[in-house]
Amino acid sequence: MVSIEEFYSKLNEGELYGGKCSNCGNITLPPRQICPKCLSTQIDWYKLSMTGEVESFTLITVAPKNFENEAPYAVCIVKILEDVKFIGRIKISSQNEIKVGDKVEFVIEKSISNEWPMWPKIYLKKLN
Amino acid sequence: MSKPLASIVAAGCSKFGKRTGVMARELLVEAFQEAISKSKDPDIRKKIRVGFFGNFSEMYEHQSHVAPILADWLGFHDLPVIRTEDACASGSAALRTGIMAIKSGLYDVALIAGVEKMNNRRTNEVLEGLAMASDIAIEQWSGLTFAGIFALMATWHMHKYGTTETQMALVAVKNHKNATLNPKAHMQKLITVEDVLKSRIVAWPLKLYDCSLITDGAACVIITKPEIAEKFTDNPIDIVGSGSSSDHESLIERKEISDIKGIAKATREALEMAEIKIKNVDVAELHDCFTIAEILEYEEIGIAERGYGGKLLEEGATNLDGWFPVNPSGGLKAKGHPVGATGIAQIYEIFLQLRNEAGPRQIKGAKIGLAQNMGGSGSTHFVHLLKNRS
Ligand SMILES: [Zn+2]
Repeated sequence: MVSIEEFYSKLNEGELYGGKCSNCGNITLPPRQICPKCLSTQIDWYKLSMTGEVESFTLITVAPKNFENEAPYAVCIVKILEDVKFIGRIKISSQNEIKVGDKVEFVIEKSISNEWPMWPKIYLKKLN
Repeated sequence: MSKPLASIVAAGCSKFGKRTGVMARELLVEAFQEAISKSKDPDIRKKIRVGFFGNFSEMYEHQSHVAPILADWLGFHDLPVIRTEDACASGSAALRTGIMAIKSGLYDVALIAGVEKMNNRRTNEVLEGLAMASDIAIEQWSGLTFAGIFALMATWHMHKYGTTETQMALVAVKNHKNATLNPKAHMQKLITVEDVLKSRIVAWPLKLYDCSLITDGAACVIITKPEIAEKFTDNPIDIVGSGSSSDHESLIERKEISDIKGIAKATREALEMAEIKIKNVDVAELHDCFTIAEILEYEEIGIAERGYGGKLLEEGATNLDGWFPVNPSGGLKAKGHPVGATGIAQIYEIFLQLRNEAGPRQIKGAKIGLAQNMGGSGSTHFVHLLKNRS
């Protein structure tokens, strides 16, 4: 059975797994127990590449309280496969440092928290 | 024309702004006193059978369970009350629930209210509170704010359709201008395209003037069964359509990230219910939480083709004197966005417009009005159609 906690514990180990529907092949991130496309409950872990392409991005300068110390940073929607997207952030200070279509790699920073949620931080690195 | 779902017989709205020294419940008293003063029945308060209260966050006043407290402050001590929470659409959720209560026959008169007191906290804390309406398992975890979520849609729309920062700025310029004609609006300041473009980045491509305001405010309406409405006012406004929908909160689940499909679906439902075409709508209040949102909404409600929302602004089509006036109140952008109150404040504006009571921002001869309110990234949706009896 897939779960969000297990998804993040795999990611904590540096591996990105989606939930793949064995009926229609749809992949979701994080995985869910019910396929949003066909409603099948036959969902298996599916290992994904740690690289993708920036589909959209924003440069956040005014951050929520829990991220204040990191600002500015860009948050990117990254297309890993057709219809399989994930989000990560990248430490840059100008919107001109990134553009739609840039190739990026996910870089995982292990959680050091001892209270919930013990999920890793998900960063991005630009590839050339 | 189909039979109305319910009728609005009274409406009130507090002054919007940074309301230092006033608590949420007191803002609602201000709105409620205005509403009941508008009824010709001096005893309308005693006819109210149920109350629905839209309110978003416990964080701002460290207060959950607001429904009985709000009712208590309005002078109700044994009223059935329910709080509704759908993020920025909490107010419209209260309205739709109230319509269901009237339509079911269970109640004949209902109070619908929305309120939010946001300015007790630092901006980053307010943003943290708002971000709680996005998905913790993905969006919140990535450090997104709501400005960031709409900025992701804006970047994509710019990339795919060529929408420009100037077109987005025109939304702000228009809505600020309208707000100067609304004494209850938070902002009372004309701005230029240049002011918007030069304002500091919040979540690029969105800048400070692309964002709605952190505002304190409350609004309420009293709704009744259509057949008894004229006991309370000579000029009731009928609710002739109500549409609602939902969608993935997380943008990564959406096929195209700038499509907010739930708006189109809720609009269609409301229009079909009312047997009205979008082109027959005389005035609209749209959920301009960020300037890009208003542009995307033009496309979703069907007044612009996909990708062409920005063009309407260049043509002035949605100005007060355009063919489809949008946000005469100043919108969330300049009237302000006290989250839980917003949906009801939109209804308040349409109520005024359809009763010819909107003063210098009145759309001449407006008969049919539309209010569109959404929660989160566009994952909860409400669209209401109102009509006068002239
Ligand atoms: Zn499936």
